[in-house]
Amino acid sequence: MSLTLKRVFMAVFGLLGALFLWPCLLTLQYYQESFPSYLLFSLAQGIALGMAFGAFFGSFEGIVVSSRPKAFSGLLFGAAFGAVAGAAGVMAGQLFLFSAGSALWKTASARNGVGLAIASGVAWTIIGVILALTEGLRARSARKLLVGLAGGSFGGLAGGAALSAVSYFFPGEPWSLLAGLAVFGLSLGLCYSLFENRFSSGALMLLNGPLKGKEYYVLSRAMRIGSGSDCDIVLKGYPDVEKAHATVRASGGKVVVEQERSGARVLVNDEPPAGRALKPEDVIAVGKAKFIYGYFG
Amino acid sequence: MTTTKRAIAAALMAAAGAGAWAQGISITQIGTERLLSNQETRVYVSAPALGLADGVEPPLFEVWESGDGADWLQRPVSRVSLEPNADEGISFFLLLDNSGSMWTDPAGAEAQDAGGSRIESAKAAARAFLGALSPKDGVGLAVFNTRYWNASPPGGRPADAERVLDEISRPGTEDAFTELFLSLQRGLADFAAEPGRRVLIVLSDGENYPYALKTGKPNPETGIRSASPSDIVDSAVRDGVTVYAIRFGAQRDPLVARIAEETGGRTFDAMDGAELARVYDEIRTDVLSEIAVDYRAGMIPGEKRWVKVAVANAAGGRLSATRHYFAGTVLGRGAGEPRPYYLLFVGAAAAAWLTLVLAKLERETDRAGVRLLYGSQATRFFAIAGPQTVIGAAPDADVSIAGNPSLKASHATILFDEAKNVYTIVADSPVSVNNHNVVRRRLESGDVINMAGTVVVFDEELAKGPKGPKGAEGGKRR
Repeated sequence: MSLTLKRVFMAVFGLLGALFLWPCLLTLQYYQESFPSYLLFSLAQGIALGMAFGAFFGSFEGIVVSSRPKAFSGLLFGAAFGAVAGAAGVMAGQLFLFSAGSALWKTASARNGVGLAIASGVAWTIIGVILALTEGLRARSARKLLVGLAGGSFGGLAGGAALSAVSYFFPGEPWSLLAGLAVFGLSLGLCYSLFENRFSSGALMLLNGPLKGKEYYVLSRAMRIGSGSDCDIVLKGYPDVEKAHATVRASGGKVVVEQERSGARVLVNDEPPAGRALKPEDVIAVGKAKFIYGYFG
Repeated sequence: MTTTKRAIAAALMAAAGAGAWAQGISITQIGTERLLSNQETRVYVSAPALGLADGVEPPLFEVWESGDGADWLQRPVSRVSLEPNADEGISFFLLLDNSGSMWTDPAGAEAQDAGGSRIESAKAAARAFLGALSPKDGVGLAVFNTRYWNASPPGGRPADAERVLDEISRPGTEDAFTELFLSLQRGLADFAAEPGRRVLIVLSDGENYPYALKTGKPNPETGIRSASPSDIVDSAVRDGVTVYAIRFGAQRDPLVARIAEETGGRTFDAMDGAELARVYDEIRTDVLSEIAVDYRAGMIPGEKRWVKVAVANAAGGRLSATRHYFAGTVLGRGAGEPRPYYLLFVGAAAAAWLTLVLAKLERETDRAGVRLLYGSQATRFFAIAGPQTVIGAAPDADVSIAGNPSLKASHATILFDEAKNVYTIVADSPVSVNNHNVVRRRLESGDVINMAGTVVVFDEELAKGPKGPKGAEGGKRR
C-alpha cells in the first residue's frame, strides 16, 4: 500500500470509528437519566469515544501490513487504551472546567453553555492526543509517540472543536453529532498520517512478492523485519525469510540494517551491510524480499 | 422511575400543591454553581407563611424535578439552611432611573426645591438602604436614562455606591428617555458574574420609553438594539438573578411587574420617599429571611428543568412552589429511543473493518516482467515473454519506454534461459542493477535496474518452479 493510499485508509478508519460510535453515543444519551451524575455520564461518553476510535486506529497498522494477528491484537489494545484515554480526557476536561473555567466563565449561563462546550472540546482534544499515542506506545517508539503527539494535538484540536461546536450550536441533533464525530475521526486520521511522514527517517518500499508496493516509515529506533507476526514488517509468503530476520536501526539521522542472526540473508546493494548507513535508492535484500530505501509520498 | 411511580408521584404532588401554590412560599432563585462539579443545585425559598422563629429546626422540604413540568421525579435533599444569606452575604445591584421625569416632584410637576424631586427621594432611600447593608454584602449601582452608566460595579462597597449617588446630575433632553428594558438587560449582564444570592433592584418612575423607538434615531450607546421582557426574564433565569421592581409615582410600567414575578422577585409601588425607604428595607428583610434548600440534581435530559419544593406548614397543610432553571446542553439534549437502524451503522462499520482485515490486499506475482518505479507511469507493468526481451525507447522495442531522451532505442535485453529458468540482463554499455554498473548480470526478483535514469524493478514469481514464462500480455515476443 502506497503512503498516499495509507493516508486515505487512515481517514477512512476515522470515519468508520465515527459510524460505529454514533449510535452507541445516541443510545447512551437516551439513558442519560439513569446516570447518577454529569461526571459519570461524561465519563461513559468519553470511554465509548476512546474505545471506538482506539479500536479502529489500533488495528490500522496490522491491516496495512496485512497481518491479521497484529490487526486483532491492535484492535484489543486500542480499545483498552482508548477506554483509558477517554476517561483521562474527560477528567482533564472537568478539571479544566473547575479550575481555569471558573475564572473564565463566571456566570451560570456561560459556565453551563460555552464553558462546558470548551471543556468538552478540551476533553476530546486530550482523548485525540492520547489515542494518537496508541501506536507509539504499542510499538514502544519515541518517534511514533512524537508523531502521535503532533498529529493528535492538531487532529484532536480540530476534531474536538468541531465536535463541541456542533454539540453547542445544535444540541440534541443526532445528525450533527454524527457530523462532529466524522470530522473528529477524519481530522485525527489525516493529521496523524501527515505527521507520520514528517517525523520519519525515510521509508522502505517492498519491491517484489505478495506485498510489493507497501511502504513502511522508519519511525522507530529499531524496526524488526521477519516472517513472525510480532515483527514490525511482517513478510509472510517470502522464501528464505526467518521469523526474526533483520533489524533496521535509526539513530542520529543514520539508518542501518543488520542481520538478526548470522546466516540470514541481508544485503544492501548486493553486499553485506557492514554497518553502512542507508542512502536513498539503496536496495535491501531480506531473504528473497527486496526493499528500496528512500523518501516517498 | 416507572410510569406508574411517576403517575403516583404526580398525583401526590398535585394533591400536596392543591390550594397551596402561590400561598405562602415561592422560589426566588435557583443556583447552579455546583451543578456540574457536585451534582448539587440550590433553591432559595421565600417562606414567610411558615412563620419560622429564630433557633427552630429547619423544616423538612421535599424537592422534585421535571423536564417538562408534568412528569416529576423526587430528588434527595442534602441540606436545608435557615437564613443563609445573613451568613453568606447578598449581592445587590441597584438600577436607578435618572430620566427627565425623575427630576419632577412626586406629582409630576417641576420640583420647587432641590430636595423635592423624585430623584432626591430615590437617592435618600438608596442611601438608607446602603447604610443598612451587612459587611458581608456586596453592592453595585448603575444609573440609566437614554444611556446606561455602570457607575459602581457589582461586588463593591456601599460607600462607592453612595459616592455615585452624589454624582448623579440632571440629563439633557436627548438623554432624558427611560430606556428601562435595555438597561435592565445590560444591568443583568454586568451583574450575572457575582457569586451567591443575586438581587437586582430596579427603580423607575415611568414606562419603558426607548430612545430609538420614540425618536427614530439610533440610541447613542446601543443603536437600534431593543430588549423585550421575555429576553430579560430569560437572561435573569439563565444566570440566576432575582429582579425586584420598584415603581415610583403614578405612572407605572405594567410589564416590569411581569419581569419581577417571573424571575422570582416582587413588585412594589411607592409614591414618596418614605414609602421608598420602606420598600428597600422590605426587600432586604425578605431576602435575609429566605431558606436555602440544597438537593442532588437529577440527570433529566434537556436544557430547561422544572423544580418544585414542598413543605408542611404549622397547620398540617402543605405549601409548594415551582420554578425553572437552565442546565447545560452540551452533554446532550436527550436522544430519542434507540432505533433499529442504529444496528445498520454499527454493523456497516464492523463489516467494513472485517472486510479490510480479511481482504487479500496482497498481489501475488505469477509472471516475470518489469515495472516502472518512478514518474507518471510508476507501477506500470511490462510482462516479459520469450527467450529475449529488448527494453528501450524504440517504439518497436519489446518493452518500449517513452519520455527519456537518454534512453537508447535498444538499451538492454533480458535473456531467458528456459532450461535453467534464469533471467539475465545484457547491455552494450553499462546499466545499473542494485546500484552496481554491469553489462551482464543474472536477475532476481526485486532487482532495481537503472537505464540512463529510467528505473524499473524486475519481478518474477518468488517460489519458482521449473516452468517457463507465462503469457506475453503487455510485451511482445521477439
